[in-house]
Amino acid sequence: MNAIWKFFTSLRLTVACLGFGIILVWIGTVAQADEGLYQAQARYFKQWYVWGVTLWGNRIPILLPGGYLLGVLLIVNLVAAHIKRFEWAWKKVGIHLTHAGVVLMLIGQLFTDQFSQETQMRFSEGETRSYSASGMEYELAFISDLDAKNAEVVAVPAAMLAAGGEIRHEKLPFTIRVKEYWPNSDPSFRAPMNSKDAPLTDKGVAQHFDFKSSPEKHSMDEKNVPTAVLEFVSPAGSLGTWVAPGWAGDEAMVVALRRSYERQAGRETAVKIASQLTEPQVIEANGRKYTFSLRPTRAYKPFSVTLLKTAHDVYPGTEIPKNFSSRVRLENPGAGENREVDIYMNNPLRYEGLTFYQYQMDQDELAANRGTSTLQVVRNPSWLAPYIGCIIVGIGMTWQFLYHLAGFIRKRAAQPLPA
Amino acid sequence: MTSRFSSATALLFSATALFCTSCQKPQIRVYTVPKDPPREPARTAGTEQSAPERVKPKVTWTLPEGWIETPPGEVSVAAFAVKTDAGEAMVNITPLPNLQGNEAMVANMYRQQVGLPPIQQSEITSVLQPVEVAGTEGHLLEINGMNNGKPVRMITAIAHRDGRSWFYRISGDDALVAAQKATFLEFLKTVSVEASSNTENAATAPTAAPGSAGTKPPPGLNAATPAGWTAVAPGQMQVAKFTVPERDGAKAEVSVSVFPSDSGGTLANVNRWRQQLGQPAVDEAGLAALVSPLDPNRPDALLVSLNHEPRAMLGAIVPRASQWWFYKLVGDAPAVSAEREAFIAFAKTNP
Repeated sequence: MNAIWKFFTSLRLTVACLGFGIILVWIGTVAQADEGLYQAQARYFKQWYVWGVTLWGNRIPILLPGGYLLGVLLIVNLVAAHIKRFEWAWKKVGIHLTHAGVVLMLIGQLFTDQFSQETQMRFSEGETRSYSASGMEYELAFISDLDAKNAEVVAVPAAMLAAGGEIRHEKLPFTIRVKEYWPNSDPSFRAPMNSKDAPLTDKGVAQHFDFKSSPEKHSMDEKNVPTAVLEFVSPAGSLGTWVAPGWAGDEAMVVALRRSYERQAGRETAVKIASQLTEPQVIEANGRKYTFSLRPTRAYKPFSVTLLKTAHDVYPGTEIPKNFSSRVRLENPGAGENREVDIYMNNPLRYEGLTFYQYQMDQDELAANRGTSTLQVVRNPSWLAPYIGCIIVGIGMTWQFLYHLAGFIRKRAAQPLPA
Repeated sequence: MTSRFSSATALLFSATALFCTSCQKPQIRVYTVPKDPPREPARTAGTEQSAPERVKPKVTWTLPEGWIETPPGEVSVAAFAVKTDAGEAMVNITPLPNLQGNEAMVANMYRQQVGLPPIQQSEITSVLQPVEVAGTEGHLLEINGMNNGKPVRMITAIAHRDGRSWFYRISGDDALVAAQKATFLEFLKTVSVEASSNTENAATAPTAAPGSAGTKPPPGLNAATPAGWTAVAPGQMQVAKFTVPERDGAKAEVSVSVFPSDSGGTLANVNRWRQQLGQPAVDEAGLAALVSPLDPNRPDALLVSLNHEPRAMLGAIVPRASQWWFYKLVGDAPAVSAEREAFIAFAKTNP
């Protein structure tokens, strides 16, 4: 037991953790070139251990501690060492504060990793949103009418589809049977006279579009768009096999696809093709209609945001962006709020634990060049932790410095002056 | 010491437990939201009124046993699915603008889809068999080959009537299509194209050439592919694609696309082509200098000439029977220049 206690309180453990931390950060940074930012984060830092690393395109089979293990060991080591060596004295207050600040930063980062959420709110001028959507995660949403104004949503995370098999839920009067799930997919329009293969299914969007699996992408500027082939089975029998493409439920991808077809076939045809992609797919069970789509995971808010106007300023005489800004109307009937806010670079809106950053800006050329804006919506319950941690560390170090300085001055003053 | 040790152990387990429990498993969420407003129909800028819907010809048939009717696509008037232990197949009935005289082009398009080499127009008679289709005489084209590593078969009956070419096609797994051939041939005899729909078609073909909207096909539809052109696999949204002979290393290719609309009008199309060639957009005044009639007898058929050394492009826009045919010859300027006359003749007469 004493050996374990000694292990967790040893300075060697601290040095080892910091050493492995340096190696891990270095490897994770280099590996981003091959694996992309998100995969590198997930594989090296959001793991307990790492088996095999990728450096300059070469896979090296080594075992390393992951970011979680190093973080937890550092916290335990730091706190255990304090418990073992804790001593109340004014001369130690600075050290205690400094270590407390470091612990707070470590814990804050772990909380950020576990509980923070980044989503996006994309809209055109005049449109209102009461939700933001994930940039990477998708959900299979079944929407059915509750009454004239409200709808009930049953949202199945794409991760459950990826696991395959059958999915049941008490709110759905049918079973979802996953026949195929592709984490990334490519669409192709079934052009007249050129549809050489049978469609994936004879229902819904598959009549107009083919989809096929595509290798997963890892770079920052590429996106994986999943597609699922699903059979819905009610107690009365099969409701058919359908294709749920992430392409149809993701507004940004519909726009990208429409622009791609526009380059090939002109705007009018591209609009027609895109409308066939986004045509709602509906199944009926127990006398109730369910519209379903595979869409970016939505996070609904108790308030709404309306995009009033976008502005894209450039430096005079150039096309170099100077500023992007979005004027929005924030309405929260529950709190009696109704106000206009300007969101622009370095001036985010902080509201209800969320931070709205200006993220992207574009033109909706189908609507007389109406401006569109995308806001990055970040929820990070521990966003203050690093600030408070830094302040505590600063106070601790200042205390420690001043305490020693004061002692030094006292000692110096006590010395007899030379004759 | 023991007390301090216990505290540290508790801390370790707490930290581990925190992470184990906080790694959330994906779960189904149920929530209520206000209904989304109905999606606005997307409109093209400057196009406030949508084009009138194309009237599809009316067709009746007797459904064979085991076939399931499915929704037809944008162009087809009927579609069916067949599924047995032998595999799956699709059946479509599709009327298209008149392709009489271009059976080799159609056959080659199908042959490419199953990995077979193209045939010449002179060979087409040897692969077409007479067949009775909807009360008229048609031709049967049967092709089998491989697709995605599995044997497939495609049987197509082609019948020309009332200025259109009708395609009746069954395609799918080789064994199933072979087994369904007799059923398919019997099905063809039961198909009936309503006479009234032909009148509608003629009435909804506003751009057909004078004299062509009756029972006779327009004149000059028997031209074959120009000498030296080689059919290659068409791209997405193309119905045919050819490479033309190289001229001292200069290359060019021809593509043919058919769309149900004019794709935004002549100016939009010409500017799109100019963009593809790396040229800036022009306005209506600039357009006039780039466009000339393709055919003196067809003022609505246009020829577009673009030159951006060392590349060049010839485009032809030809409205036919409520569809717009787009032809494009693009490549190195010498190759485009050499094929200019052949391209114009091809665009005028095919189909």
